[in-house]
Amino acid sequence: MIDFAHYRSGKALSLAATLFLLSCGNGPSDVPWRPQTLSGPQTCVEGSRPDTVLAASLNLSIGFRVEDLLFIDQGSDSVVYRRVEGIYADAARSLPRERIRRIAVEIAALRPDLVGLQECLHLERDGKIVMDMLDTLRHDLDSLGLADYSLHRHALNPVDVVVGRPGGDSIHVVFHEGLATLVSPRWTVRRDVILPFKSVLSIELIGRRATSERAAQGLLLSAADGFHLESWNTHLEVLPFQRKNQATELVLVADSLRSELAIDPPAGRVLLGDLNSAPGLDADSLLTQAGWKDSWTDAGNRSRGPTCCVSNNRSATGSYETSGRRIDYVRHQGACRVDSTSVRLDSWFLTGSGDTLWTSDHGLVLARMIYGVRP
Amino acid sequence: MVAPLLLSLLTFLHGTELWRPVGPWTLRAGVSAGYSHYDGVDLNRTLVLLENLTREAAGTNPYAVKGFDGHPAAQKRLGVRRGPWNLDLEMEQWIETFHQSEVPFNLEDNDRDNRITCDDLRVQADRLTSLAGCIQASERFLFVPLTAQVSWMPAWTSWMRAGFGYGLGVLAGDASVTLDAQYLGPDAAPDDQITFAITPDPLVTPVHKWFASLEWVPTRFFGLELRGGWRLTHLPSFVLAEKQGSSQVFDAAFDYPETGDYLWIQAPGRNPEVQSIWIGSREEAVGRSSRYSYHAVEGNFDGWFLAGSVVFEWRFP
Repeated sequence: MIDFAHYRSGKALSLAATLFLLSCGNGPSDVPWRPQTLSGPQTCVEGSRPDTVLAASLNLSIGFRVEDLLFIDQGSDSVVYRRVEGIYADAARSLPRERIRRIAVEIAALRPDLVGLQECLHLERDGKIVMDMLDTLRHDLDSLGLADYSLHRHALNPVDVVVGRPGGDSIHVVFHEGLATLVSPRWTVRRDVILPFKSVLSIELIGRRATSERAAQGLLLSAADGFHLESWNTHLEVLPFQRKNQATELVLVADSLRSELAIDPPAGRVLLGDLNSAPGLDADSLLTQAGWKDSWTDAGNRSRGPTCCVSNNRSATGSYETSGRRIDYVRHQGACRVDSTSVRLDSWFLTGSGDTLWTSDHGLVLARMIYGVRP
Repeated sequence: MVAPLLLSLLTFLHGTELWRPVGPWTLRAGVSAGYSHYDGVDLNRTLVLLENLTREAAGTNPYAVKGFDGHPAAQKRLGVRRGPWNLDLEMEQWIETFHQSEVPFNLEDNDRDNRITCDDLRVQADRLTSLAGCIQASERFLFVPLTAQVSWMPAWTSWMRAGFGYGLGVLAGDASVTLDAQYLGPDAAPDDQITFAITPDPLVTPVHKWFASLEWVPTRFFGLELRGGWRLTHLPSFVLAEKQGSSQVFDAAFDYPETGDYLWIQAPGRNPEVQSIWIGSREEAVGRSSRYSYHAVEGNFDGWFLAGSVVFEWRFP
C-alpha cells in the first residue's frame, strides 16, 4: 500500500509530479497580429468641392502564366527548354510592338489622369531584347505627344538563367514583369512605393526555387489645385486561396500608409488592377467590405463588362462577351459619383501588315469619377 | 458529480473500514470498448480549411469534409486490487482513418463552377492545354493515452462494486499522411508521392481522467464493469515530421514545408474570418505578423468517455 500521508513519500510524489509536468513542456505559442494604426475608408463628403479623375487599368499580358510552369517535369532539361522556347514563340507571335502601339494610341486619345498597368513584361534572349513593353510604350507615347506623362515602374519576378538541353543548345533567359502607373502631367508624384505581398506562390524550376512575386504599387499624387489622390495598382494571384489573402494585405498596407501620411485635406483614393476575381467573389467582395467601391456598378453600367480573356491573341473571332469575366477594376473611395465606365481595346484590330491581333488578353477598363473629399 | 457524493456519504455511514486496503491482493486484467468524445475544434477546422484549399485550387473538389467529435475507443487494463482500492495501468487506442481519393485539379480553369472528375481529365489528357492532375490522399490518426489509475471501488453487495477514480498519464501519437499525385497534360511531371507525420509538440502531454464505475461481479474470477467519466488533455501544437519523398502539388499549396515546421491557422489581421492553413516556423510566423495572426493548431481532446469492460481477477493466496 502507498502511504500517501507519509511526509517523505508525499515529497517524492510532488517532485515526481513536477518533473512530469516539466517534461511535457509547451509548443509554440500563438503569434498575434501586430496591429498598426490604420485609416478607415474614405467616403464622399456631401457639399464638398468636386474633383474629376479619369482612370484606367490594363493588364498588358500576352498569355504567359506562371501556373504554366507548375507541375511540369522540372527534372527534364528538354521539357523546360521546350517550355522556354514556347514562351519566346508566344512572345514573337504576339507582335508586341504593334500591340503596344495600339495601346499607346488609345491612351493618347483618352488622355486619362492615370493608367494602372500590370504584367509589364521585359524579355531577352541571349542578350537581345525580345520585348520591353514599358520602354516601347514610353517611346510610343512620346511620339504621340504624351512625353509629359510620367511612367512609374517596378519590376517583379526577375529571372536570369541559362536553360540548356541535352543536345547542347542553350538559351540565356532574362525576364521580369512588373507593375507600372502612367501619370498625367496634372499630377506631382509625391510618393511611389511598392509593397510586396507576403502570401505568394512558390515554384521550383530547374532546381531553383522562385516566388511568384505580387505586390501593391502605391502613389500619392497632388494636383496644382490642392487635390490629393492616393492611387493603388495591383495584380492579384490567379489561385483563389492566394488572392484572397493578397486582397486583405492590399487593404491593410493601403490603410496603413494612408494613416502614416495623414494627408490634409484628405486624399481621394483609386485602386486599379487585375484582381483575377469576378464581381461578388473572394477578392472583389473583400475589397468591397473594406470600402473600395466598384466604379462599374456605381456608374449603373448594365453591361456585364467582361474584360478578360482571349486565349488566342491572333484570332479574328471570339470576344470577351461570349466567355469573358470582369476581373479588371477601377475602384474608388471618396467619389460621390461615377459618370461613366467602359471597356476599351476589347476587340481585335488589323496591324499594318493586315494581321489580326488583340492588344492584350485583357481589355482596358476606364472610369470617370467625381470625387468629393475636400472642402 | 452526484454519484461520487452519494458514495462518499455512504462511506461515512458504513464506517472507515471501507477505506482500508486490507485483505488479499488480487491481480486484475480487463479489456473494454466504448466511445471517447471530444470537440477537436482546431482539428476539425483544419480539415475544413484543407477542403477549402482543394476547392479553391481547382474549383473541382469532389468531397466534403465531415467533422469528427470522437470515435470508438478500446482500452486494455492491468492492475491489482486490495480491499476497496484498485491500482491499474490503462492503455487506450484512438485510431481514425481518412481517405480522399480521386481529387482532381485543373489549372486551365481555376474558377470553374462545374464539377469534373479525375476520369474526365484522364480521358482528355492529350488535349489539355495546361496542367492538371489527380490526388489520392490518406491519413491515419493514432493516439495512445496511457494512464496510471487509482480507484476506490468497495463491494457494496456480494455481487456489486461501485466507486470512482482518477488517472494520470500521458498522451502520445501522431497522424501519418500519404499524398499521391498524378500529373496530366503536356510535359507533365512524373507521378510523385510524399509521406509525412504530423506529431504533437511536445511529444507527450499529460492526461487526466476522472471516472465513476459500476461493476457486476457474478463470480470471484470475473466481472462486467461500466465506466464513464471526463478526460482532460490538450496537445498545444503539431509539427511536420518524418517527411519522405516530395510532391509538387503539396509544395505549391504549402510553400515547401520542411520537417520541423508547425501547423498554423493563418488569418489576416483585419479579416480574421479569412482563414487558411499555413505551415512554417514560429520565426517565419513572427516575420509575417504585420499582416496575419497565427494560431498553432491544437489537439483539444477534453471530453467524456463511456466504456464497458470485461474484467478477470486472480486472488493471491
